Amino acid sequence: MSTIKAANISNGTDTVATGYVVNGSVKSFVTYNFSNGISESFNTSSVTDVSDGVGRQAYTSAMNITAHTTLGNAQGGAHNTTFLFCEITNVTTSQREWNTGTSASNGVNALGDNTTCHVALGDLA
Amino acid sequence: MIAHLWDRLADAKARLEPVQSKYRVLFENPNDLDAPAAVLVPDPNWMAAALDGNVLPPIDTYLRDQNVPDGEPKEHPYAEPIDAMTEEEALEYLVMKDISPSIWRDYIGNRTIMKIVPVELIPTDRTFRNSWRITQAEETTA
Repeated sequence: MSTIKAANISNGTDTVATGYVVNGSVKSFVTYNFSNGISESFNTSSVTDVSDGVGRQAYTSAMNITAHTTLGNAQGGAHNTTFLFCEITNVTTSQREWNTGTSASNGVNALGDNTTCHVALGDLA
Repeated sequence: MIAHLWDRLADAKARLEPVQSKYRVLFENPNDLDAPAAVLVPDPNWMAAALDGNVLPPIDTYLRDQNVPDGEPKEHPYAEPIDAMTEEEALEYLVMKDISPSIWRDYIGNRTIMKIVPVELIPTDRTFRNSWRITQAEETTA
């Protein structure tokens, strides 16, 4: 493996410190479907199908603190009155869980097996 | 100097084709009898790195890091990478890394609460997903 060491990165016009790129990049991501499995990922060792609409991603390289930045999104939907939700739960430095399902305009919420996408940002351990 | 694990993973993702495991790990939580069986899906990029070798740290570094407080240095990112594993060894590693020791190490009951199974044995019909349990094989005595 080759390593380029430089304090700055430039395109000839604009220059930024390498630290902006290294520290600001996404540290982990995964796209998961309960039926089809993992389609896109990085720094993920596994996804566990916990129950209907509940998943758990494990990081290969842990984050530095539990309160790192995590984002999750449910994919799909049909431009109608029922919307998909994705809630991040039970975060640790080495994993996080999510609940996903549908939320209808009549107030009925239900867990369900949506495709979801997740990223983690922050400092690595 | 050993590169950070995250850098090694980036390098591995760039040069290795993902490997979809032929297996899943089924497990139940002995502390939550009402919970359905969970299904662990190995990550394809992780599996490729495990089978290729010289990327992942020794499993015992992860186990020791479980007790490291937030913000304190962890051992696994800079540990000496281990050699290539077989798929069976990789799954055992993953069980120890991503499943609670209360399931794979500490459980002393008679019920089978963890199994490594071919993908084909996981039901594709998820209608009754929250009722899934691990089938208990009948044992006969002589």
